[in-house]
Amino acid sequence: MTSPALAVTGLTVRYEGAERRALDEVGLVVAPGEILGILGPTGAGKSTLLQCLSGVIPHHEDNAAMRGEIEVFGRPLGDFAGLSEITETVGLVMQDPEVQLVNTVVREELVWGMENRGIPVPEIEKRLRRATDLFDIGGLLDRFTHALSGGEKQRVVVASVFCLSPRIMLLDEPTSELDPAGTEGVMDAIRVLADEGVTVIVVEHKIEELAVYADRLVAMRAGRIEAAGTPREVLMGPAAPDRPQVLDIALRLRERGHWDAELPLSVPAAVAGWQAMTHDPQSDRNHS
Amino acid sequence: MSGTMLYQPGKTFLHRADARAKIAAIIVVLVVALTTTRIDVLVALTAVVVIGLAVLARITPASYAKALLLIIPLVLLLTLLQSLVQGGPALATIGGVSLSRAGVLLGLGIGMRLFAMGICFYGFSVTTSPSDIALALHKVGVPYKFAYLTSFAFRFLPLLQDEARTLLTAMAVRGSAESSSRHPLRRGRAIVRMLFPMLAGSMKRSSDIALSMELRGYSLPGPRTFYRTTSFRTGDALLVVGVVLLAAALLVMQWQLPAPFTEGA
Repeated sequence: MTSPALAVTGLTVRYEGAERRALDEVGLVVAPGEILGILGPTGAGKSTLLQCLSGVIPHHEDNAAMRGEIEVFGRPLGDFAGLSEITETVGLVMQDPEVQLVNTVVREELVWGMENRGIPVPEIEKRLRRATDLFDIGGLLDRFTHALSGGEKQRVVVASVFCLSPRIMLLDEPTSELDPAGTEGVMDAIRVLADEGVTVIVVEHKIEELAVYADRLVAMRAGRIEAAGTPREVLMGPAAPDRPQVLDIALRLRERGHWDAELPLSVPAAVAGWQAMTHDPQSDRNHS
Repeated sequence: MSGTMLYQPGKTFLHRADARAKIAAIIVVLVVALTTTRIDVLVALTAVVVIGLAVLARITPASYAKALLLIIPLVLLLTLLQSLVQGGPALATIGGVSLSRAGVLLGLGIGMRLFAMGICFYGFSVTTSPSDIALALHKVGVPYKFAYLTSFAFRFLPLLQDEARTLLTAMAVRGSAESSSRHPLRRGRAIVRMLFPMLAGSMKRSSDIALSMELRGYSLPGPRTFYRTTSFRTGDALLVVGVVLLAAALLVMQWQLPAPFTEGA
């Protein structure tokens, strides 16, 4: 039997001087190649969870007390030599792209991590081409990193972590500064990665996107997991921190007896549902 | 000056030159500038640097004129101080205070020295990519982790400028007249007030940046590959030889020609 990509048991974190636990007995299993979306209000513990899964807590943050077990592909995280070894398997994209761009030119930014790992130049070129195609940043390669827009910076940061070929990618609000088209582009890229076997855990406030792209969702509140399951299960349940607007509209229409189709989680699904409900078989016969 | 001393990509001779050759040229200019206070030699050196940048990198004096204007008050202050503390015949007497001729020449010489070195550094930084500087330092034996820090500094200079601008704007929109004032003293007070939050922000950010670098293998002990390569070509050697010859000519000029504006000269 294959080991899960990540298995978390009883994970508890308390920051120094904090009144309550940032994470409270969190348990989680993520399968290889799965996209797991994490939802929750500010302060729910989403970013802290990603920091634990990437080894940042306890290796970098020294003001957080942590207990519990984390296994990465069956290997306890504590058995890794340090943050550098963990990052060979787990890639983390933090919230603020500005602090993650450490080179002056985009091309140098993308190759820098690979150079540090001693990856041969032909392989660097191959990964660079793949990253520029996947994240649509070919036109940015010779631009200065400080001159990019917020959305461009986010795409470059995600691409630079992708270039390291981690088996697990942890993304903390990777589309917060992107417009709808940019968000869709990044989420499409994430889908492609997952289809190739990369496990992706993504913290997002854009529920509509997660509902469409995630295989499973986890809803967190005050350091605890309140609900976990398919997007439909979580978003229709009482623990959902918020719902896609289109689902809310469909629910209201259903209350008034105007929606008989399956409740939609996205606009295309709502359109399909609406068409199915308003479809008149008689008119089809007349047309034929 | 165009605002910053950041790299501006181009295809001129100096842009294409190996960073090691440019560093060597800078060292030669620094040696000449720091080994003489003769104003004629320093004027000639500054002229060579200005003409060199115009010819080899198409950098005109207009692009760094503003920065030079900022140095002028410093040069005047230095000249005044030197004219008061140096002995010898007086150039002028104002209100009973004698201004020494040797002191004035020394102050102006130091000013020319600052001009020559400043223009030289400006030319280097706008024609050399930060990663090329890091690579050049690494090639001459500096461990990569230290060499990279030069490139890193260039990355975060604009970040600090942005942060300073944001803080000044934030102060202005909350009614601080000082932060948008054109008066240097008032503006200076706003900048002092801005320094603490900027420092605090930088401290917080530096921890995140260190983490980000570690997550991408900066602290890995193993061998590193280099995607970019540099090569020291004939043109680079000619640049170094040319600068050395010019420096030699200036030194000969210093030894052979009498110092100007001296008694009997």
